[in-house]
Amino acid sequence: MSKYMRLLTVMSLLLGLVPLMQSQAPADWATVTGRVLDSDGRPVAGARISIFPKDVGLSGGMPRQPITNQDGAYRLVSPAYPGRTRLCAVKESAGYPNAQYSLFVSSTDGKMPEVSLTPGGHLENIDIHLGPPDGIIEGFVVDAGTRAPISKARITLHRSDRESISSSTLPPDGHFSYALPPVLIEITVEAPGYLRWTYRDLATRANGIVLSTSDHKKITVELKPE
Amino acid sequence: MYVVKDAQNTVNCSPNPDSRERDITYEVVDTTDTRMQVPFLLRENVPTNIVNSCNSQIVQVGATCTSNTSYEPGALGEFTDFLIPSCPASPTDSPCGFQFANQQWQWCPGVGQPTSIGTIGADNVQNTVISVDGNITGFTVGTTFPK
Repeated sequence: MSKYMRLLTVMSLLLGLVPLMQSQAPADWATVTGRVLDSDGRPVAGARISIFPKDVGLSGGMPRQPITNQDGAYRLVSPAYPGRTRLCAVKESAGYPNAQYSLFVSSTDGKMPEVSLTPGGHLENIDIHLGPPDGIIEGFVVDAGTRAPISKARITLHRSDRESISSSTLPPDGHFSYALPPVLIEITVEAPGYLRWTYRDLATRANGIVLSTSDHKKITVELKPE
Repeated sequence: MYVVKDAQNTVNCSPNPDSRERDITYEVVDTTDTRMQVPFLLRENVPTNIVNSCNSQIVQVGATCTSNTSYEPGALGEFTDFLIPSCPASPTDSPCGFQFANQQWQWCPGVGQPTSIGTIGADNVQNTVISVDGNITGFTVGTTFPK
């Protein structure tokens, strides 16, 4: 085979791979558009749209979660999950947690829309109306001696009135941030090689925290070596 | 392939019993422990006909080497496995969910058969607890899985 033919063959193979490498949503996915509005009807920019398929089990990837623009508008492209799919707007830094999860549910939450996604379908004006924002707690997890961030920590929140949990590993800088409803939430932090840390309210001596809606509490979790 | 994040939450399914969601993010590395260069495609090697006892629906799995922006690994070569049993269809349907005898993730080359990059083990995805390779509380960052 001549050099020219070999080059042609290689180029044909590479061109054949292009469609595989291009990223696009399949035609049978559904599209949902709408806006996210706060309790005063103002658009909420920078909110992430979380979805939960209520009627079908799932393992593997989920669609990218769109972020609202300056007008509070979003465009979600998703597989057409069978049954109902629930939408929620999340912006922790502004006091709007992921209310799909029981731990963050509040009596003043707005109603999360539930939609039926059809293959290739397009739902418009699916607006998400948020309730008043919650209080916020944020902080860092550090070594009590060196004050260095602890990179393999896990934080667990527990809400006893709904028997619900929210648990996650933390990023290497040890930072965490939550918007919490105004109910008692227990917080524990664990990391390999350290003693477990539990939040204790010095004023009330409660094993947990109750944030009011206007709170923005900052804490440092100091873990002691075992 | 190793764990970079493992989060789980109780899902609000009111008025029916609550459920669970566990989201495990993995980073894919090559044999020299270097991050895989994106883009690359993945598939989940699990049965495609598993029925979820919460609602009698077939479980949606990522078993195909599809190319789309939602399922491809991100810029750092990481991807997230969402394990969701959904909501129980009625108050009497709890506990419920589905199981995989052995979950495996495979790399999809442009040409040729998918090859294993991580064998996770057994998954038991219930609305009350989600067990992955026997772990129910959450993996520590850095936990690795063999090919």
